[in-house]
Order: sequence, then structure tokens, then C-alpha cells
Amino acid sequence: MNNNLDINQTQFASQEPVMEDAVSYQEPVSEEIQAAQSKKKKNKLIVIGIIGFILIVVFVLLLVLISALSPTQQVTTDQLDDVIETPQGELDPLLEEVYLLSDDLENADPSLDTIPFPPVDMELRFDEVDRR
Amino acid sequence: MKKIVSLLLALSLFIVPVVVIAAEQPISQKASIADEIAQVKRTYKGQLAEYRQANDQYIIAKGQFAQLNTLSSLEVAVQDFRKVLSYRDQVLLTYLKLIELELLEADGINLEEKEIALEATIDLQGDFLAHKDLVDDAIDRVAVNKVAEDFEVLSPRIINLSNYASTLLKLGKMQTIFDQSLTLVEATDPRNLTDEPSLKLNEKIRAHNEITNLVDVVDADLNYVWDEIKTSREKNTLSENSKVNASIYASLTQVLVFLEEILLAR
Repeated sequence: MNNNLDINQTQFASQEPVMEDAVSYQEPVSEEIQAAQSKKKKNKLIVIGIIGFILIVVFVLLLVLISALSPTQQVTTDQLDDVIETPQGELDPLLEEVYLLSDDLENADPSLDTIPFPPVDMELRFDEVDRR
Repeated sequence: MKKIVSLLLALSLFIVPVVVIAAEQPISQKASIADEIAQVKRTYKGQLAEYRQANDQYIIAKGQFAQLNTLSSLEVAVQDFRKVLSYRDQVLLTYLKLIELELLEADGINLEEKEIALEATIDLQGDFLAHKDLVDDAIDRVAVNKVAEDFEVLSPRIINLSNYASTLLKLGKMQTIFDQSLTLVEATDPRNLTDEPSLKLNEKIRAHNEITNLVDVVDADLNYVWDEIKTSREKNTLSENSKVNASIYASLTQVLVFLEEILLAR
């Protein structure tokens, strides 16, 4: 028949044992301990931040040094264009160097004067001098 | 712990700018000289245009003086002449500055010669500046004739210096290319190859020997020209040896053509 029927009629449906859902007891933490814990956390964060910063600094330094030491920095864009235009596809670095030097050599033609003398009259005189 | 961390932090903050500046200095220094050269070249062009304009004006004024022969036409002609002299000095001063910068920027020039040329350029700038002051102060016919005569001492000096600097710059460029090609010649030496069949290797060695012979010739020519420059400078008889320069240029071109051939055949 009805199996769910509660036969204990002295107990109310909403009634619960007194300590069943009791809030666990927490010992009160002193302010000093709390302050010390938060300080520890802060210090940890600072150390992590500083280590991260130093790593970034080292990385930037390495980048700067590598870029300063790499010879390609001295290559002008014109020269690079010339190299790219060559039908070789990916060039042998030595061959690339030869092409760059050939370009430089064109500019070093000794028949060309890089600083020609100014076209000014070097014998200007107001009254002609009698040079007898 | 805290002290070490703060020390590291301070150290890294100090090192970053130092390393960045040290790494970029040679490049930025070169770039700044190149910028200055471009700026001086623009100024030089403007001053040359001013000189030409003043010279045209002087020719007209002098023509009028020759026709009219009046005191007022004489005054105009003298003042115009003074202006031309002043503009000419200014153009030559800027030209000397340009030589100085080009020498500073140039690679491959024998250091002793470079220093002597730079010193001479700076000295001559001082003399031209003094002459320009005299020109600006000359107000009458006698005075302008005097400063025009004084210029005759400066004229051969600047022509000689121009030739000297020009020779150094041309040679410096060729010397730089020669020095760089030496590394390539060494890098293409077939004797460094181990997996090459001996027949092919002998052929490559013969080709490479041809290049090294040519390099030796260029080296000897360059040394000869540097010595010649030094001797002629000491004797004050500087003249450009264009024949040897042309020969060096032709040999260098040949070296690069041979290197290209060898590298393309690899």
C-alpha cells in the first residue's frame, strides 16, 4: 500500500535535528596575522613582476644587440631592391654580397667626381692688373 | 632578498639605455653625417644660385660704368663687385664644409692621409672666413681690389685641396670594395671543399688562382697609389694618377665578375 507513509506521527515534517546544518565554528583570526599574510602575497607579486620585467629587459637587450651586430642593417633599401629583382629567387649570401659590391663599385667609378669644384670665377678683378 | 631585487632592478634600468645607445651609436653617427651632407648640399646649391645672380648683376653694373663713367655708376659697380666676392667666398666655404663631411663619412682612406686632409680643410675654412670678413668690410674701389688680390693666395690652396680630397675619396671607395672582396675570395676557395671530385676540384682551383692573381695586382696598385699620394703631398705636387685609378677600377670589376661566375657555377 502506501510505503512512503511516515508512521512517526510525533515528528513534524519541517522539523530538523538541532545541529544538523550548524555553521562550522571559525576561530577568529587576529589582524596582525591577516596583515602578514597579505604582505606575503604582495611581496610574491612584486618578485614575480620584477623577474618578469628583468626577463623582458634581457630580451630587449638581446634584440638590440642582435640587430646592431647584423650586417644586413647596413644594406640600403635600393640595394635590397636590386637583389630582390635578380632572377635567382633565393640568393646565395655570397652571391648577394657580390651583387652589393658591384653596385658599390658602380658608384666608385674614378671618372666620376663626387665633389666637383664649384663653377665660380676664381680670377675676379675689378680693375685689371698690369702684370708686366 | 628585497635588496637584491631592487639592486637588480636599478642595474637593469641603468644598463638598458647604455647598451641601446652604445649599439646604435655608430649607425646613428653615420646617418647624422649623411643627413648633414644632404643639408649642406642644399645650402650649397642655394648659395651657388645667389652667386650667379650677383655675378650677372655685377657684369651689367660694370658694363654701365664702362659706358657712363660716372661716380654713381662706379659706386654701383664696386658694391656689386663686393657682393660677388662675398658670395664666392660663401660658396667656397660651404664647399670646404662638404669636403670635410665627405671625408669624415668615408671609409677605406688611409688614416694618416684622412687626418691631414681634414686638418687642411678646417684650416682653409678659417682662412676663407677671415677673407670673407675682409670682403664684407671693403667698401671702396681700392679696398675691393685689395681683397680680390688677396684671394690669389687662397685660390691655389683650395684647388689643390679639392684635388687631394677627391683623390682620397675615390681611392677610399675602391679600397673598401677591395677589402670586402678579399673576404669573398677567401670564402670561395675550393680547397675548403672536401666532397668535390678531384677533376672538377682542379678546375676550380685554377679558376680561383686566377682571381687571387688579379687580387694581388689590385693590392699592389692600391699600395702604389697610396704611397704616391703621400710622396706627392709631401712634395706639394699632388696630381691624381687617373691611369692607375682606372686600372684598379677595371681589375676590381673583373674580380667581381669572376666571383659571380664561380658562385653561379656552384
